[in-house]
Amino acid sequence: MKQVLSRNRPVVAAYALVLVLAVAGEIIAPGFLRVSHLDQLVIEGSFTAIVALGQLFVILTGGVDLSIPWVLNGAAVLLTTFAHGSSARMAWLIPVLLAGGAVVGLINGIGVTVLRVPPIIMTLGMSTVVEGALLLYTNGGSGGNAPSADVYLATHRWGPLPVVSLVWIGVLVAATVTLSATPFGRRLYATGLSRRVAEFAGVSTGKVTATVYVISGVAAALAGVVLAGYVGQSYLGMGDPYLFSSVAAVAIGGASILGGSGNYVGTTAGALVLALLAAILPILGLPQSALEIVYGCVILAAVSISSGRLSRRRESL
Amino acid sequence: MVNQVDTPPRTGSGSSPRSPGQAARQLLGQTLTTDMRPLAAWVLAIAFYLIYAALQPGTLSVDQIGTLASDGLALATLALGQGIVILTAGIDLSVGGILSLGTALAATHFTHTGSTLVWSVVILAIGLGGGAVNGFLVGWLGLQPFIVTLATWSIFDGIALIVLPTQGGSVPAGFSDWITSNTAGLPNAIWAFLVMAALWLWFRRTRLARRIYALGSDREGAGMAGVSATRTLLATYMISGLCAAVAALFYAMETASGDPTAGDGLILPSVAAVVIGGTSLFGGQGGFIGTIAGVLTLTTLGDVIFAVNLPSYWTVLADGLLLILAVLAGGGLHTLQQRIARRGAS
Amino acid sequence: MNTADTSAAGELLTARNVSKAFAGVHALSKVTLEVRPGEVHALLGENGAGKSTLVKVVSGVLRPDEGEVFFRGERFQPRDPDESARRGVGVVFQELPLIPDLSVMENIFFNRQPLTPLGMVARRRMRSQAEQLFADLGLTGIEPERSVRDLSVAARQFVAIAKVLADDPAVVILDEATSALGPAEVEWLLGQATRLAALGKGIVFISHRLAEVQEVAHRVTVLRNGQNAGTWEMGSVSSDELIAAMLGRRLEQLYPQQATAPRPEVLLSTRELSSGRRLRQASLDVHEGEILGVAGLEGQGQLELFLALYGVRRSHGSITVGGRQRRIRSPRDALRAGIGLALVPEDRKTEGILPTLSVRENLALPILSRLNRFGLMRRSLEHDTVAGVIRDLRIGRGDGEQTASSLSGGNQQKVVVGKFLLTGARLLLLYDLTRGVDVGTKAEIFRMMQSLADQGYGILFYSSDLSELMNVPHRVIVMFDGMVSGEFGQGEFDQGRLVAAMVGHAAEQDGTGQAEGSAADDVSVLAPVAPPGSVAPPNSVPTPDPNPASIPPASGPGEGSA
Repeated sequence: MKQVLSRNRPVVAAYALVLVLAVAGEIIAPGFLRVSHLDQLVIEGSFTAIVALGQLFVILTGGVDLSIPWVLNGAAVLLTTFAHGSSARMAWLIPVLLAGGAVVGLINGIGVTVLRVPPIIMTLGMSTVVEGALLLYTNGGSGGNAPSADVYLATHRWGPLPVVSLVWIGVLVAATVTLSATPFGRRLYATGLSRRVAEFAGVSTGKVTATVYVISGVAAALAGVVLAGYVGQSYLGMGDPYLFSSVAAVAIGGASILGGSGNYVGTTAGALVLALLAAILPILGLPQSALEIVYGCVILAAVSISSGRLSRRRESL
Repeated sequence: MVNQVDTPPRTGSGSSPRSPGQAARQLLGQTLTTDMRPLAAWVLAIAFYLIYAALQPGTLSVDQIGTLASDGLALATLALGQGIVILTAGIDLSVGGILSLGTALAATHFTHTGSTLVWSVVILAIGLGGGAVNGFLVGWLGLQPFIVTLATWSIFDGIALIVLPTQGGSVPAGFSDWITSNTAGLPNAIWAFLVMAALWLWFRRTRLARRIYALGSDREGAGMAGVSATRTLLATYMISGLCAAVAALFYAMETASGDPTAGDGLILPSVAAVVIGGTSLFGGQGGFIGTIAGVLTLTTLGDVIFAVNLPSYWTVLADGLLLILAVLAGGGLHTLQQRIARRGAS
Repeated sequence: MNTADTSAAGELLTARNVSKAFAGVHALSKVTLEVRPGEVHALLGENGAGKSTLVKVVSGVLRPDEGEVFFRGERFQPRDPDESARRGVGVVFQELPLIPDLSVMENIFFNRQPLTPLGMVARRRMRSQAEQLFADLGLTGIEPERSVRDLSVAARQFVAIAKVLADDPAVVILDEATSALGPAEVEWLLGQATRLAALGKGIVFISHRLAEVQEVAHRVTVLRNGQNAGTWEMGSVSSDELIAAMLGRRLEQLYPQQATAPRPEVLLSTRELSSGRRLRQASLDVHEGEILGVAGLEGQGQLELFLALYGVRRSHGSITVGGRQRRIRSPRDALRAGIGLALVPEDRKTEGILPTLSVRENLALPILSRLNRFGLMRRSLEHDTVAGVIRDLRIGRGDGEQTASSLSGGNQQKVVVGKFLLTGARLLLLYDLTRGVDVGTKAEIFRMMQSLADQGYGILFYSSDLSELMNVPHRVIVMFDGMVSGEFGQGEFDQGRLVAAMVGHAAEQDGTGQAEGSAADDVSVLAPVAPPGSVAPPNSVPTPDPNPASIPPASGPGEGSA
């Protein structure tokens, strides 16, 4: 057990941070940890957690996905617009929207692998393209109200747990199993560690890389659908915070920005940390914009710390 | 001192071609150098401008060019710094945040000449400071540029929102008028471009600039040749931060009010302008002269879209597509050049 | 430079008791080197003996774990080679670190460019200074404003040398400076070394070519396995003694006994295989149980051959494996056809294995699809499968959970090869596996190759070291100008003829003819490199002469790789 803990030091550290923040929150504002508040924290954290799944997979290959905010926004807007408040339509709408996210992801993937465009540039470009398309479609207006089934999904509980948290748990299980116990996971890590070595070992690094962008697109679309339910409607700009928060969650969770190391258990901790911070800030009287500052500082801190570890490891090679 | 060996060795790089075909290829390889790419960018920019002129008669006057210049001034300044960062094979996403913060501060603190001057200095200092943080983390700790500047972008955006939570504020008329007035017959905006171009032409011949190119061209070789990556990158990102701060001032002049998210939409165009202008994302090649063409292309494109009565959102879409296309074109051209150059050199 | 400038013992530059280790492997152990003014001091040793490491320590690229360097009597610890050159010790590195996107003159005067009053680089002045420098050195044909990216390797060598000499250093270290040069150019370089020494400078001349060293050096120090193996006045030591010092053990111990003869079945066959510009038409056969060696100067198509066989490069022509014609467009196709590739380009440590993963994870990578059921990995099956290879090849401690980075270089190579054994590959492509590797590891690798051949595997083995090629493979083919220019069976290994085939002559003993149209970028005049007389006299059992001709270290896979 000790061996497992020591090899996963960054993840353990992240969960320790979760604990520290939770306790701090309780100290600052007693009642912070009551169940209803915890519920809310979990729900709010789940959106970051879902997009962070995609971001993690992309970062594991050494890339980054800057198009997440607008894919999320697009899915949310299209959901509210086409559902017209009718829950029944969600049955076919949701798969279509997820497929749309997949398509954007596929374009990103093809750009990065076949066309050799650097990931930052490709996803930045696609982000703008999706944004432009969405702006044109909505003509700058907002998208209408979310259907009730969606709202239910996002805000209600089944027994002790919010429904959304079940989605999160499902994602957690699926991601962890995929990364640690499937051939795809092995190939993914290999691709991130060294494309050439992986390629020479017969791994189709192109397929692996394109796949992670597709996963990211789907995750972003899913988050958009659920977020629309939580907020009750869709509006332009609702995806903006999720770029920074997805990267921050991945970084806090101990994944290396260079690729090849990290897992979703850590990213989950990262999402929890961010949710806790988002809840504590208002208590301290700080405005929401301070959250962006916090995201930035947290990313810097996480990356600086892990670079120290990385350079120590490189020395020994 | 002449050496003793009778025949100095033929070094192979200037050896005579063995056939007319090889001679032609050698010539082609020498002309298709990277100097070609800024030229191509200018051709593109002029072509766009002519299209615009065709759609909107009367655009070929000095005044209209001056308007074009003032439209694109903030972007050009941003792209100047971004281009220098990209020369080191890096990228600076925080320029958006610095610009946002700069305009927010301008809109809230520029009340009269005195405060305008003082706060202008503060804004410039913030740009330098932010750049220093970026440069330190990238240069000393060796962190990836995109993640560092992503984080600092977030920080500056957050500060900007605290300073100015919503669009608003204003700047003194005397300040914002500068960009639309003339000096010695030429619009000030055009003067600004000329000054920046002149500064660039001077800068690129300094030893610091040579070190920046070296770093982007071959990191390890540059280290062996005595380039301190730490110091050079620090200088690089500080320059970019400073440019972003100046861009913020120009932006405030242009819009005469503040917008705490102004910079977010300018990051992609700044990179696009640099890439369209022929600078390689992988470092070591390119320059501001080409970037100006990229800026003009993007700015004119926006005007063209307006002139044909399309919603302005098309600009956003078009910018994204142009960036991707420019990267592809640059990459393709690069491979083509390399192939031809290799055949010509042997 | 006069002797009054030097320290009491008459030494200009001294490295004393320098040690340096990487991940537990000792590249240098208490090595001492003394350079006097006015002498050409040769540093001789096999690949991996530590010569380049020593140079990197002296010039500041590496910090020694132990020991010190003194220059003119004072401690010498430059920050980087640039500072080292400024202070008087100039180094021309083997890798020629020039900045590709800058011009020749920008490279030469980097960080010392003449400036105008405004702080701008004075182009015209720099250009005339460059031209003056070239004239002083007797170099013609290099255009100062040309981008270094466009120059051939030989031209870059000249620029690198000119760059160092521009600082007028008191000590000049030339690390394998002749490896990319043709014979006339080598003569020029040796002449320069002599001239500079006559001016009172100290020249350190590093090479693994005995003939050149014998021609130009006053004294010679031999390194072997990271340690001093002797220092002599050039006139007072024989070639045999030097070779013995370099190799340190009887040759027979380095190379395994010639094993079983290859079987008649043809495992791999190519006909008119071409790929890109460099591989024009290669036709060869590899039999079961055969080690087929490939010899060739840099850039003759051998790298492209290997990459094409493994599907990393597109190719035309036919490839037949085990009697079936195959279309190989990707490494996956190659693996399916039963081919495995162990390629070792510049950065050895990261190109063959994933250092942060375990041995098991590395070995299992190519066969993941065999080890899973319904999409989930079967851990026990994986463990059992790799255990076999770990045992057979004697990898590390025999523990599959060992981290790959903790293995020695030789064991890491075994992991690289072992991966492919698990895929069922019968044909192994080994490209320069032994470059920069110490002698003990080399012996291990050769033993592994031999035992694999005994079991019926076919091995295509490229090495930049002629002596290896003359002792390990059953047969050797020579690549020249993208084609197979010669084939030598056992007993036909004659260094002279091998070298002749490598430079494009058809089997002539001393090749004095002029050959036309040599596409070898880096050889401008054709003649055998070793003047007859310094080669060990041919006898019935070929004695490997550590004096291979013009074989520069092969560059890593460039265009077309994944």
